Amino acid sequence: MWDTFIIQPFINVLLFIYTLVWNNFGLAIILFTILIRLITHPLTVKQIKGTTAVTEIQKDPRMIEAQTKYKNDKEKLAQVQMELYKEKGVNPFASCLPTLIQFPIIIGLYQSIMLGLASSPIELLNLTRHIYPQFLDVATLIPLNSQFLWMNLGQPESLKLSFLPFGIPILAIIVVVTTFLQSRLMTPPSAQPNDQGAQMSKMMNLYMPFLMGYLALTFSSGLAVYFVASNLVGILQYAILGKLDIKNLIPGLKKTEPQVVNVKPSKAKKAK
Amino acid sequence: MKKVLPSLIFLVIIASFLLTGCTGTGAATSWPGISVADGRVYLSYATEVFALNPDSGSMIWRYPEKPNAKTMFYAPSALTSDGILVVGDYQHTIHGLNAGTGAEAWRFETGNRIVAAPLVVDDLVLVPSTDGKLYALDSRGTLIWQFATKSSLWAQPAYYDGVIYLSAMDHKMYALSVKDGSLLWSSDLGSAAISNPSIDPGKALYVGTIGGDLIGLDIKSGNQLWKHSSDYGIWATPMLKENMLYYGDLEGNFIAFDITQKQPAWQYKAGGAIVSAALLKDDRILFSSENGVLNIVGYDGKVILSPAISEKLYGSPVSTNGYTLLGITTSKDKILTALDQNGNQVWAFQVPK
Repeated sequence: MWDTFIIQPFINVLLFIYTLVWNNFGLAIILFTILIRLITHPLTVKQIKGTTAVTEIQKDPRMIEAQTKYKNDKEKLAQVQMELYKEKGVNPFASCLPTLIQFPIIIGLYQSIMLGLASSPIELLNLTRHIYPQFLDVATLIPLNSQFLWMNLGQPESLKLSFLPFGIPILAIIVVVTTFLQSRLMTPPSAQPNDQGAQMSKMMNLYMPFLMGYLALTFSSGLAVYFVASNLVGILQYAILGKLDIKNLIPGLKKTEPQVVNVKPSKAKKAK
Repeated sequence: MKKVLPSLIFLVIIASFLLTGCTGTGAATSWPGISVADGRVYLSYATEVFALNPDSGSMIWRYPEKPNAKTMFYAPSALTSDGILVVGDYQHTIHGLNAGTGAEAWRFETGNRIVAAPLVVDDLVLVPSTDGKLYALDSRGTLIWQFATKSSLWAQPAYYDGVIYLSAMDHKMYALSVKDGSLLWSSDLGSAAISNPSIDPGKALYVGTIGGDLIGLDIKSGNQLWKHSSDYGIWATPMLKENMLYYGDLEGNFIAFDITQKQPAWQYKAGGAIVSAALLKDDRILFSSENGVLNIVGYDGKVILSPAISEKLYGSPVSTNGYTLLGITTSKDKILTALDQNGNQVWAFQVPK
C-alpha cells in the first residue's frame, strides 16, 4: 500500500521531472522537493499558525503566572493551560497534525530519491518495477544520469582537489549550515527560556545540524541535495509568510520576553 | 542536558531507522557471486570473499582479515593463470588475492562500484566498472589499457579471437581489440544492456536489453542481424546451444529461442523474475527465479524438478563436482547451497561468526 500510493507515484513524478530537465537527477531532486513543498504549503501555513498560537499562549501573563503558582502541581497547571487554549480557540494538537501528515510525504520523498539512485542490481530491479510503463519508457530512461555538478548522487560526496590528499565534504558542510540556519530562523522565541521544552528545543537546534551533516556525509549525496533544497525552501516559505526571526541569529538582538516577577494571586482568582 | 539526551538518542535511532530503510543499507543489494576454478569455490558475499572446498563446503580462507562494513563484495571473481584471484567491490576497488592463501597481493582503484565479474584473457584481467570504464590489468594489478564508455558497465565482457565484446548501459555493444583496447566497432542496441554477450563463434553475438529486445549482431561488423522484441526486460545472458538461445525475462518467462526461425520455440512460466543466466547441462536446463525456485526443465520445456530453495533467488546456478551451487540472497541460515541431481541439499555454507 505504501509502495502503491506513495513511492510509486513519487518516483514516477521524480523521473518525469528528470526527463524534463535534460536528464539531470540533481535538478530533478531540487524541483521535486519544491513541488512537494508547494503541495504541502497549506499544511505548513496551518502548522505555523498553530505553533504561533501556542507560543502566544505561553507568553500570556496568566500562563506565566500559573507556571509560577503551580510549579509543583502539574495537573493544575495543565488545567489552566487547557482553559487558556479553550478561551483562545486553540487546539494544541492542530499544529502537530500537519507535521504528522507531512512526515510520510517526506519519508516517501527520501525513499523515492534513493530508489531513483539505484546503484546495485536489486535496487535497479526495484526501480524498473516502480516505473509506470504507460507513463515512462524504461528502455530510454535507464541508466539514470546520477552525475550532478561534481557529485555522483548515488555515492557520498566529497570534493577532491588535486593539491589536497583528502576530499572536502562540501555538501555535508552546506547541510550543517542550512539546517542550523533553518532551525535558528524558524524557531519562535520561547516565553520561558528556562523551561524543559525550551531547553530541549535549544539542544535540538544545536545537535540537529550535526546529525543531518553526519547523515549527509554517510549516505548518498542525492539525499544531501534533498536536505539542502528542503532547508532552503523551508526558509523561503517562512520568509514569504513573514515568520523568519533574523534576530535569532544574533544573540545580542534577541527580544526580551515578558516575565512575571513576584506574582501574587489575584483576588478574583482567590474567590474562585 | 540529562533530560534532553533521551530525546536526542530517540531522534538518532528514528533517523537511522528511517534512512536505513530508505537506502537499503543493511539489506542485501545484490546476490552472492560464485565462481569455480582450480578445484575451489570462490564466493563473494557482503563484506567478504571466501574460498571453499567444493565437496564439503568447508572454508579454506576468508578475505579480508578485518571486514569493513562499507566494502561489499557481490561480483563473482576470476582466477588468473598465475594464481591471482581478482574480485571487485562496491568501494570502487579491484582486489588481487593470492588464491592459495587469500592474502592480498594488490589493489587497483576505479571510479565507482564493481558489479560485474572480471574476465581473464591470457595474461589480461578485464574488469568492468560502473564508472563506465573497462580496465585491462595484468596479474600484478598494473593497468595495461582502459576503455571508456558513456555510462555504467554492469555486464561481464566476452572474448573471441582477439576481440572483446562489451555490452554497456549506454545502449551500445562495443568490440575492442584485446591488444590495446582500441575500438573495432560499436552497435546501438536501443536500450541499456546488463546481459552479458553470448558468442556464436565466427558468426554472431547475442544480447538481451532492458527494453526487452533480444538482438543478434554480426560478430565481424556489429551490424544487426535480427531483433526479437517483447514487453519485458532481459537481464539474463542468453545461453547458446545448438541454434537455440535459452534465457529468462523480468516477467518470469523462460524462453527457448530458435535463431534459425528467429522466434521462440517454447516458453515456460517460472512465476518470478529471471535475472541471471541459465546453466545448460546435457539433459536439462537449470535456472533460478525470484520466487525462490530452482527451475529444472528439459530441452523440450517440460519441468523435471522445481525445488523451492529460498524466499528469493537471483543468481545463476553453477556446476561443480556433480553438484549445483546456488547463491542465496534472503535465507538466514545459508548463503550458498550445493544440491545433488535430485535437488537435495548436499551441503550449505553460512558466514562463520
